[in-house]
Amino acid sequence: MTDQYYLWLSKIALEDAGAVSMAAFGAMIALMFWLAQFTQPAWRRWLYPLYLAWLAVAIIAMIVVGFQAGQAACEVGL
Amino acid sequence: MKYIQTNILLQFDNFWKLFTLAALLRLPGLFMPYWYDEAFTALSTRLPFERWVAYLVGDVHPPLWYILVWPLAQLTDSEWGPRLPAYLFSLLALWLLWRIVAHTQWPGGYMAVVAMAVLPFWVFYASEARMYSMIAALVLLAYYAMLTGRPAWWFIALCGLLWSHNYGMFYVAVLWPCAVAQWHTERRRVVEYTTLTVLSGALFAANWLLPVTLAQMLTLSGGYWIQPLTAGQLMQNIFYLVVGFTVPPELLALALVLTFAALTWLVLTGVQHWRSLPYGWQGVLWMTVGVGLLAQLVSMAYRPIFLFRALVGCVPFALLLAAWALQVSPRPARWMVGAGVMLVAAIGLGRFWLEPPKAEAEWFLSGLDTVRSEWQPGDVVLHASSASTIAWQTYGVDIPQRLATPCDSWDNYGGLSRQTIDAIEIPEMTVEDAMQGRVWLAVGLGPLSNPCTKPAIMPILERAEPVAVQYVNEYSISGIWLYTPGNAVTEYDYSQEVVCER
Repeated sequence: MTDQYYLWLSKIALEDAGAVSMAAFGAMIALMFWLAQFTQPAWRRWLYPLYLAWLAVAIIAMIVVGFQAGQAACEVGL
Repeated sequence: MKYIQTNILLQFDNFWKLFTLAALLRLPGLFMPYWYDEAFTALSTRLPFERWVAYLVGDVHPPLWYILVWPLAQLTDSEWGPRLPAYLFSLLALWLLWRIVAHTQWPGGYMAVVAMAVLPFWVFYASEARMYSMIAALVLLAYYAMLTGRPAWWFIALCGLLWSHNYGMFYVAVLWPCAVAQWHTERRRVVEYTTLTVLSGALFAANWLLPVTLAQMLTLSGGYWIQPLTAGQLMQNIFYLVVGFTVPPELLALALVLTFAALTWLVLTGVQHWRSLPYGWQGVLWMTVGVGLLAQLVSMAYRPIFLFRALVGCVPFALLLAAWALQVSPRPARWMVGAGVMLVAAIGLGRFWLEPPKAEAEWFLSGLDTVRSEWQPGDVVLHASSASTIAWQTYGVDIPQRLATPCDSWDNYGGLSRQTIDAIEIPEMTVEDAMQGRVWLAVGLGPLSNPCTKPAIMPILERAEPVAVQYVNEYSISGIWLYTPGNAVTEYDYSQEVVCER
């Protein structure tokens, strides 16, 4: 196999780690919302708005970081 | 209507509105340039019969798709010809899922039908000149035939699956226990469906498996391109199957997070409410995971064969389970998950239309125009490896072409087999002979290419001028270069070739 092949494998490993991290992050968000339904109604009154606000910030952050990372990855040839 | 519909979206008129929307969403893809696998299909339709057989025997798939495509491709040279069957099968699959939902009165099933109509995964494969939409339609046809007791359609669907794709064997192996479980109280039906399953398998084995599939396995034993499944690839594959792969890289992280948040919610809710699962859920769950499990078992026992797009026939059943879990979710969660999935779907569809992945072929077509306009008598196109031959033979068959004599064995991962190359009939030429005159060098090298290919073509590549370049980076070299005798060696600065327009 060529050096390119092993370089490519390392890129794949990086992508794998990214995919697992993103999937785990998404699963954690769902788990938080799902568990919240078993809390007291008084908790839920502030827990859900807090989660939603945090989710909105996370979505905006992912869009901003995504565009920056996309540009950086392209410039190094990924 | 025969059935009492539980949801307004599944009423006859509303379904046909959704059907029309799905048909319109799938139309633009019919006219985009081919990507590699599609060009393989298109090229097959232009070969005489003997070479057509040899071309396909050197590949990995059974021939039904190519048989169906051939007459349509004779009607037109345009891309829509070989894609039309996929378009029609995709719409047939949508109709069959609607019939299954209506027949079983599946709770929330209308959401599965809506998802199948609009998700980018389905829109993409509806306009791909490959067999994947057909696989989905045949799996749904077999399942619908089983539910409604139509053995003839069951037999046709199973035969069709076996003759469409090697994964057809897995689908038959997964469908058969469903039929036995469905009819276990009616011994006559069990015998009927089992007989037809075995018969379809036997017909397949006699006509294709023994003489051809075994030969294909031997042909490809040294160089199949699928890599072992890792946890990350599994996540990516699930994402591709749910959403598709047309999400732009900048929004991929967001799309992955939202998709897995939605999926996790649905799984947790499904487990929480499993006692209210609808009748027949075991069959739907088995259809969702059975083929993937079999493929992974074979991958561990033989060699990696896990291919996400071949699981296309499992996705409608996953959608049914997801739709039920969404139906039993609290209303705010239903809206949030639905909105998240639709947001990701809109991103994927937007990219598919505005910056289609198939438009990677645009660089090639513009390069081909340059080659034609600057062609001089005595010029030759030299392919560094078999990878570039398919597109050139599809779009530029009028241009004289040669294949660089392979540097050693034919161990080219993901490339064409020796039999297929022989069927295309491109004469070979050594790099040294080619360098006697002007050469248009066509390169398509990736990380899995034969390691000796790049050094073999370097004498010509390092003296050539770029004409149309797709990639030049650490992993891949893909593009068209022009060599003129007497050119001096130029040092390539690969980092300068990377164009970032995003």
